[in-house]
Amino acid sequence: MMNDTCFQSLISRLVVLLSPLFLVPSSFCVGGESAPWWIGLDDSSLPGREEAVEVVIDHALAQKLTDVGIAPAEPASPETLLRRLTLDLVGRIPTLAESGEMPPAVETADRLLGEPGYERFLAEELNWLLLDGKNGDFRKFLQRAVAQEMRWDEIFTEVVTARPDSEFRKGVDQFVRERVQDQDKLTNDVSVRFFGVNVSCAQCHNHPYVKDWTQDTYYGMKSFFSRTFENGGFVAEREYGLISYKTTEGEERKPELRFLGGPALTEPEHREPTDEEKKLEKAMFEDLKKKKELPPAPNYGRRARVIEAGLSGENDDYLARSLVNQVWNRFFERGLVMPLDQMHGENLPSHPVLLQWLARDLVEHDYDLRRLIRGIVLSQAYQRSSSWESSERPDPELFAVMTPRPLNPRQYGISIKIGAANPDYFPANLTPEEWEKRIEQTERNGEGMARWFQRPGGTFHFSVDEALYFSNSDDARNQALNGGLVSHLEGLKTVPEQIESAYRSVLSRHPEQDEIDLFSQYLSARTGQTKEALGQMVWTLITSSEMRFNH
Amino acid sequence: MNPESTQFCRPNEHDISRRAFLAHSLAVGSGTLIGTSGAVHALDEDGLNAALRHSGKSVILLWLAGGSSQLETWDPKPGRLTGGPFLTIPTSVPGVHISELMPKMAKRMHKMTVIRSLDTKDGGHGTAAETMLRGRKNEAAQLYPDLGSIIAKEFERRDSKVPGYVSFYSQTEGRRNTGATPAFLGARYAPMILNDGMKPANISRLESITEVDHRDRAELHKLLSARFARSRDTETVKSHASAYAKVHGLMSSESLFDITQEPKWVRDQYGPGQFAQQTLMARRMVESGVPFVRVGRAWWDSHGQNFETHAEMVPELDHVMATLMDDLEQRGMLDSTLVCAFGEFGRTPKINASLGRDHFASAWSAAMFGCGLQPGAVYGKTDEDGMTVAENPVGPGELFATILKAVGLEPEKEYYSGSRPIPLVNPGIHPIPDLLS
Repeated sequence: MMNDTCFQSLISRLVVLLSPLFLVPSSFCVGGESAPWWIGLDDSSLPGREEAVEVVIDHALAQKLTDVGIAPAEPASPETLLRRLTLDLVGRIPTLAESGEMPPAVETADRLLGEPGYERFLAEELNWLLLDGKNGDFRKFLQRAVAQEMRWDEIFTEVVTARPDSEFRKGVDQFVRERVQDQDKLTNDVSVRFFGVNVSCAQCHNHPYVKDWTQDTYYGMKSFFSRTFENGGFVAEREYGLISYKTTEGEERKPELRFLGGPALTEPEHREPTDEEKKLEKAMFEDLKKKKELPPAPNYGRRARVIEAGLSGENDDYLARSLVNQVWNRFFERGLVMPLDQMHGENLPSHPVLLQWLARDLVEHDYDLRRLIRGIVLSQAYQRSSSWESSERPDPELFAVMTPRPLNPRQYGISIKIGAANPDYFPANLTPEEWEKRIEQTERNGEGMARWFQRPGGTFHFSVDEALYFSNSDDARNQALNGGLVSHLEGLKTVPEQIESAYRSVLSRHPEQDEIDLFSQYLSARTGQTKEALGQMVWTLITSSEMRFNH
Repeated sequence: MNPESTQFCRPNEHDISRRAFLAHSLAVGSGTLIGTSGAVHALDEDGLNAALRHSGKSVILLWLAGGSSQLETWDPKPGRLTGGPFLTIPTSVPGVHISELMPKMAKRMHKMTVIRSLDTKDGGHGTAAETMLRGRKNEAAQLYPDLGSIIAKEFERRDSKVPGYVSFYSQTEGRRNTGATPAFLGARYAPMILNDGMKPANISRLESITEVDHRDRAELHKLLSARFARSRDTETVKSHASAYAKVHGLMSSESLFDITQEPKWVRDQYGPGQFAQQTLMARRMVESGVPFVRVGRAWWDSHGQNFETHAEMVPELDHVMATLMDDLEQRGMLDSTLVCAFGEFGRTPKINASLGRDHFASAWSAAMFGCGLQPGAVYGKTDEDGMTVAENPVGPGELFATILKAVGLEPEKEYYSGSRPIPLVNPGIHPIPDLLS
């Protein structure tokens, strides 16, 4: 039976379908229950669909800033912006040669988006999104998928289908396989990581804040995965089996198949196999286990239904909205919806119309992430300074000033390798092949260092372990002293040249006068031990907050 | 010793201006070693330093990894099929008997608080340990901070030079099984994890850098960080500088991690084993202001030869707990220190074919003493064979809430994970009044 909420949400959908110009107030309510925020959203205030992504972002953010009467921060300096773009798009600081010229941001962005390093970095980030950065075949699958420009809806389909039946698909099943022992985790991780919706609160009781989320929502979602199991290292699925749960009142219920609290999906009539059939089935799975073969896909599979439901016209916004929110969060350290896993109808985004516009744009452009990312980095908000002098920093959801973001471990590791290297290792006149070879080698070395650092997330605090590591380990001392930069500095004639070269190599900018004074005095007092002193200067720069953040 | 250098390194003068810094640097020149007395105050000889003593509460958790048997410790069943070979002895609390393997604790029973009715539902090592250390199960999408991270967050002093959370583990137990996650509280409240070396990594200065250079370099770091943070004073940016600011404090408390600084007679009192020595270290740390120390004693998982295992390990536990109690009492620390002894679960009353006991979470015991607890209380009861809880069942949440309440924390207090309010214990779970003083 259709409940009130379903009915009301259908009505509102109809309203939107019938008349795009029909304005529905945001607090559209029937009987005290509100519709999800995206139903009946009025986007007439935004530029049209043909407009460039960055123009739409600028427009939407400016509107809100005007509303609250806050003047945003000035644009970041060209040096800062070049560093920011390089860190965000290819996961490292620029080399000295790259920071020699300052072309307009759009040229830098397009150059970096075309580098192989962009794809490598994106694959790493997607691997973090889906598998917490684990090193394995899944990571390699993502690298192949990104290199082939596979669409996000296709990646979702492949990952949930989980059938490694070709060289290309090797490792694709790791996402499901690693979670299959714990179906609650599998259910929730698919919901959170693809759709931005954490349904686990509704596992034990109806969700306290979200009226639409009942235990039916949770178990309806879990039903998609309850027939999945591991067989000999592969993901397998049965065609039968129902789960049940107890309500908080103690009533036993059998959930229907539902996608994120949507209407119950129709299924072929469930038939429990006979004992004889079960015996045969068991023998088949045992045999496959012995032969280490991939079990056949079931004729009717419930995991196939979650893919179908997730990509169906009425639901695919979940997938796109969540991806937009994740990507936005990566560039601003704040999503348009916070927390990232609470993208439900009652948690209003900071900029609802913008989020919906970007999600629709993403779908209409075949989930082209380059287009979305290019639009974000060309926006005024992304290019703002992270400095805020006058008063208390404005609410981050206004995007009025850039938030300094801690580098992730890979970015920091690679950036140290580049910053502390002899700048002559990356001369301007390298052939593209040789350049690429050296960068890739440097990335691998930097990834080796990454294990010393924690991946930022949430309200992040640095641990003292990192500071102790840099202060007292031989390994860290080597990074600072023996990367090549110190010997390069020793070869320079004057102290100001040494300071200039160190700052440009590590912090990608020229030193300011007070910094030149500071280090001049420091170095001049240590003429008998130049190498050590230069090493301390390089150490100070690579461990500085300025280096540690994308600012 | 060079007077200039001493002056440079006094902790109170670390807020020096850049000009002062440079003047000192130039004056100090190269190669001058700074005398230890000029460095940030280390602990003085007997391990005490009033300045470092904190006013907050501390918790020492003696973690009985693998699951010790309640029948060979706090809840014996003599004469029953499940009872095993050991006898029971009377204790200083009239009517209460415990295993004969614990004569020292029997004499001190009137200072103990024992729960005999834990029913914690989970018999898997990993998940049960997680639950016992959090008072609830981690959810698929919500990890909870463990007891140590909470105590560190609540009681660590802002200017503390010692870690907020130290966790000793033994090789048998394994580093990965220490069960700690600060979760949404952040890496700042993660434990400093120590093994039998009892000394943290990277806490000593390399010989290749002089102390002067080390300090000057840190000053440079501080100046640059302050310059960067001036117009970017977010919490995360500030935490970077403060992590580095902790380095010299920790290095100066290197002696904290040096057990030979304890007088020999004290070390002898605790005894020679790793567990005993780490427990002494725990006391030493708590005394210096570390709010939470976990000492792992492994491996109690006696699926075979349960009685040999317990005949060996329980007397050691008895001795170490008794020594710790006396030591804390003599130092006047019992009112501010809570000591807990339990693991992830207990052991089956039924004795298996290998004369072992298996995992058992339905009716087992935990022991505590100190701060905020009701001395001499023995709470809950199991049936005559120890198979089920007969009276006053206690879940992991109630135990957790009781520990928090005993050190003065309100279990209903909420943290935030993003925008989601997370109370310290799950709603509807309360401390046990009978156990609180």
